[in-house]
Amino acid sequence: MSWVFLLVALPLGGGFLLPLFDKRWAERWLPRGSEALTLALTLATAGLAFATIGWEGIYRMGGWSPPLGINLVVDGLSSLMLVVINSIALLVTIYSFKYMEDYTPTGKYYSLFLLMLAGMNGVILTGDMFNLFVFLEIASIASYALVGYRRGAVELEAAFKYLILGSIGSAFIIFGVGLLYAATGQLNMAQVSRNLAGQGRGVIGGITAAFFLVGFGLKAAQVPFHAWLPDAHSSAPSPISAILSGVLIKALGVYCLARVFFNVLGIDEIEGNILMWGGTLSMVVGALLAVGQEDLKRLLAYSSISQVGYIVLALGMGGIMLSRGEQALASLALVGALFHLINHAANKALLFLASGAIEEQAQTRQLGEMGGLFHRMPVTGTTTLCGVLSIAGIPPFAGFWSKLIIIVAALWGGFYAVATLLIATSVLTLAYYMRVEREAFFGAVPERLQKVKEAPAAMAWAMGLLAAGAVGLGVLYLPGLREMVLQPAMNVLLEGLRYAQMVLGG
Amino acid sequence: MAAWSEPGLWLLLLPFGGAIVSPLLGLASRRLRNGFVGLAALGTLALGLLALLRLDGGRLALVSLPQYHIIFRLDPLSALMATLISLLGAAAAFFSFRYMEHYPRLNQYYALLMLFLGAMIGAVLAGELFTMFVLWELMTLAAFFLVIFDERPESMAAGIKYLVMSEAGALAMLAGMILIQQLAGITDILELKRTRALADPWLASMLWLFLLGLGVKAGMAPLHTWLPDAHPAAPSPISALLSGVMIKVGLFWMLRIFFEMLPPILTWQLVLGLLGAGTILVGGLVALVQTDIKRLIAYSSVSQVGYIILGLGLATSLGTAGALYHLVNHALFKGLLFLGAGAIIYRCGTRNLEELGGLARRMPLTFACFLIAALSLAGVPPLGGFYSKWMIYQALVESKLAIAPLLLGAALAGTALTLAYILKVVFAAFFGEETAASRDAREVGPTMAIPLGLLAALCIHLGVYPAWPIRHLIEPAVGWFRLVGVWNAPLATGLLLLGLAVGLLVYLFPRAIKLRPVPLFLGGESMAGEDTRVRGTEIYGSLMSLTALAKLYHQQSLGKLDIYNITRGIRGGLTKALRWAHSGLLPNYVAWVAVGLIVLLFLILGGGPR
Amino acid sequence: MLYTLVFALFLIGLYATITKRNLIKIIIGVIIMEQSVNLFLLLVGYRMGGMAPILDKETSLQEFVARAVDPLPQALVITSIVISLGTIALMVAIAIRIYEKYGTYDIAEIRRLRG
Repeated sequence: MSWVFLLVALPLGGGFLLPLFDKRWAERWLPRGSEALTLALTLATAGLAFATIGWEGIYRMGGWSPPLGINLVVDGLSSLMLVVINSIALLVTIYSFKYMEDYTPTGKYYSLFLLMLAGMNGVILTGDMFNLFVFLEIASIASYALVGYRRGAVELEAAFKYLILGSIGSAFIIFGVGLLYAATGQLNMAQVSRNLAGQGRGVIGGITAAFFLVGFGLKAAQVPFHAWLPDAHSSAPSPISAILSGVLIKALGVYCLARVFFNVLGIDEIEGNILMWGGTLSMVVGALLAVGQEDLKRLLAYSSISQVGYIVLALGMGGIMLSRGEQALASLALVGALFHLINHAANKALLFLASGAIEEQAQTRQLGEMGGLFHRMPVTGTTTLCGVLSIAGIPPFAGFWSKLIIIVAALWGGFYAVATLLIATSVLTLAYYMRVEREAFFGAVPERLQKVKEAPAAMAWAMGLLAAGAVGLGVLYLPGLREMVLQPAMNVLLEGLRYAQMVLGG
Repeated sequence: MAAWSEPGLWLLLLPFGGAIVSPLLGLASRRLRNGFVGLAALGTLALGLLALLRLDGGRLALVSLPQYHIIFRLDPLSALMATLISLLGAAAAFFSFRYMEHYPRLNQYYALLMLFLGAMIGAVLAGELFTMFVLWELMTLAAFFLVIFDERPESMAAGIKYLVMSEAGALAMLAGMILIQQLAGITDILELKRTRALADPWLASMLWLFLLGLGVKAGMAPLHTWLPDAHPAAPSPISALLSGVMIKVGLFWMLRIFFEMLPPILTWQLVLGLLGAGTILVGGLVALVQTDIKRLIAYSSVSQVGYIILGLGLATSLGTAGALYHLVNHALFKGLLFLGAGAIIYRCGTRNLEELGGLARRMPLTFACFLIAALSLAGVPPLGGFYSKWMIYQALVESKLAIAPLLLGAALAGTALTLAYILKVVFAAFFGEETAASRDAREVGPTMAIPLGLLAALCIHLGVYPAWPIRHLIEPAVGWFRLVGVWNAPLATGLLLLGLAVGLLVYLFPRAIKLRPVPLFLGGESMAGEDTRVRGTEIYGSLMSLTALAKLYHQQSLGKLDIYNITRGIRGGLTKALRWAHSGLLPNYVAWVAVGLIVLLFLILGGGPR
Repeated sequence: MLYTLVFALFLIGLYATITKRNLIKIIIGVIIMEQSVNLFLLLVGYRMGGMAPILDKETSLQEFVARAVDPLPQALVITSIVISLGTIALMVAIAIRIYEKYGTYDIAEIRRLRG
């Protein structure tokens, strides 16, 4: 699969090309050229991402074999992440056409957007610790800039806080990478994994684990490292919020945690417990904070903390079960985590896009100023309802099945306290999302909103497709489809050492 | 695999089909849609009856896909419930045609109505725990959208309260199911029944989780608090369905699990008995002081649910049969009461009892039907409610439980309360002087009158001629039980009549103190105005101040005893504290990171040598 | 020993971001953290009395292997410096913009987003 590098190269190249389109000549000869190029590139990457499904192998950059050269690795987990990232990026691009019309300059926006996409794809694909850090920083810096894109006071404040906390997180990650190099003399993830498995971790390995937990925990916005997220995700332009909440925190945070702890360091019971209880804490705290929010986007952002908590919790639970040798239970927990990751990506992207549609049409983000929007914006209303029911875990919507699997894993594994909190948080989630429905969508239309119209077609289509996902993604767990997407990804985490085998051979 | 030739399967599928087709027809024409909905509802009823008759006490698998956890099964009990649901569904659908005609978005309404019916039928026909859960949730969701259908702020609040409480209960139940699946390895209820797996003490503790979920839905105190909010908030035909059959689905599953799957266990007898008795008293006492007609009837539902739970708790055949018969009766008369209340609201435009009066002359048919339902509810012979309450009394008298006298006392008090509050409704709405609201009321039209009449006829039938339903509907469902004739059991009958007498006294007592109303004169002029009318509800105001209950009533009216509000209060405190902590100060946030680092280092490195 | 110093420098940077209220000082705190990491990377590849890892005609391969410091961390440090340059430039730019909007560099007054 020699074309895997295109997943990184295309958006990266596009990102550097696009600023040219803000020049006068481009505006004259190529109106909407930046949009067209971005669409073409995201279409291409989405297609490539889907093409990686079922494939497993490495791409040697510059022809160097591992562990000498940097190589791109495709396995079940990376295909799953690539599909999620690139399909949502495609929908967000379509959505952005209309949404970003009011902003100038769009070329820079799409440029940053593509850089972020390249960074995320790179993080997923790379098989090298330091390269991971580089791609992670590319994606992060692009996202810092995008958060402050509107350049209002609040947006800048959010971007600054995000930037400081994000840089601290990056410092921890690069420190961890350095420690890993000091301990093993290697940077190739597969080789590091093999060396660590041979020599044991020791104290340096322990410190590395702690540093990675802090660094990736910051990127994944897990309590107590979450404080930047509600500011950043609510201040970004809505399509960017959708990308940030939908995929960025998962690609830079959850995926890295999973990859590093399951495939490189090898998870043990203590770290499993840390992840599980950290995830539980995030889940509960995020939900409790979301209840009290007046600002729709801020509510959604806190909800992201809570929902990512579910994923991290399930990952940690899987880790504990693995280290206890309960393979069957662990596979359940890990499938639950990955399934919830997909579902949450679709649902949260949908809800942020919908909040953007509302913001543009009704000119407000405050729940108290909305009302009866269902009657004015039927498409937005229906799609949001699908997203809300899915994320709140109502059968037969997709979100229910992933939560169900996580709850089943928690109960069968004997984690009754966690299961209780899972259930309580689900109820709380339902309560605050129903509040959104009540205050924004149902009831009488206030005087001020009488003239509100439905969002433009491009935005409606993007939301509609995501809503179809919120309704129908549950089929991914059906036998037949499960073997295509979820199972291979889960196997990567389940058999942590197979990763090194796959990359290095032998 | 599915039994395509069975009416039972089509009974399951028809409402779902109706839910899809009716809005499409509605796009073309309103009449076409209404006609189709009527036909679909009648068809469901016919299929239900057909399935019930063809079943003849046997058992039948409709859909059986155990590898996907999908099993639907028809047995005497579920067939009875499904028929009851389709009966009330048909009544509600016909009642809706006129009642709902001024509402917007009727296509959605009828689609939701059919979905609701289908989900309820599915939830009772489910022969497997997870199948039941999914249909149960669908039922909750459909009911939620129907409750908030008019999108008034108070109905939305009520609907969300209902949804959240139901979901909490349902998820607790789901946890129970998951654990049963793990520990017993069976989720097919037939297998669970055969192996009696739940009798295992560890598995039996899962039943607490089921009790939570089913109790919320059934309106069991103290989990009942959504019910008096949501039932009045819904449009009246929906209230009839909610109170008439939806809460019965919860009771039906209680019967399934606590009677069919368990041998009599003392703990559960005591728990259910006490919860039932408590529910009777709470519902009855609060119903007595309500002034909103639908709210009062909703509290009455809580109280009557108490009887059914009480009967189940005795874990004897007679008690369970009494509970099931009361369930059937309650479905009929409560459906009728809500539809009757709907007729009043439709004609008078108010649901406040204080603004109603003298409707007996204006709406004689409604009055007659309402009265029959009210008397059946109160347990006045020879109506259905009398017979089923008598069975429960008799079962209590025969019971060997140590607390049986206590439970009997609660049942007695409940009977008295029931008669008192329902007489209040009847007198306040139908007798006395006419008010501004009731002056122009007319009798309702045929599509509303026929459902009322039909249900009233059934109420009478079940009381006057109980042998057939008991022999052919109740007995196949719960097994054979010893039934002595009513008048051969003097103690139970006497107690029931005593209860009624006390109820009459409670109703008459405040009335006796009031003076005979005479025309008021002021300066030689007659003052026949609103201000001087002695309203039918006023007499109960004295109850609130007279008794020691005054304080409780006050707290209750503020919602402070509501488990939902209590939980919300705790949650609000936590939220406030957390929001205070997120002060927007970046250094604090960085400090959290540092603290997190220290904790993580401590945890990982302090975990001992590796 | 040197590693401890590097770690101490890292903590000093963290301490600065926690205790300082001025935006610029906070940025400097982050810079200190990033530079301490760079120092650490260099230390990992350093060897006492080592030579620059450049293979020219005068050094034999054996001598190179025996004496040269590890070149890989140096490459990492260069990359890392470039990345931190980008971040810091963005930080300073945003800090200046914030000053335009809020009229202050005091982080305690830049807290419209809370709760």
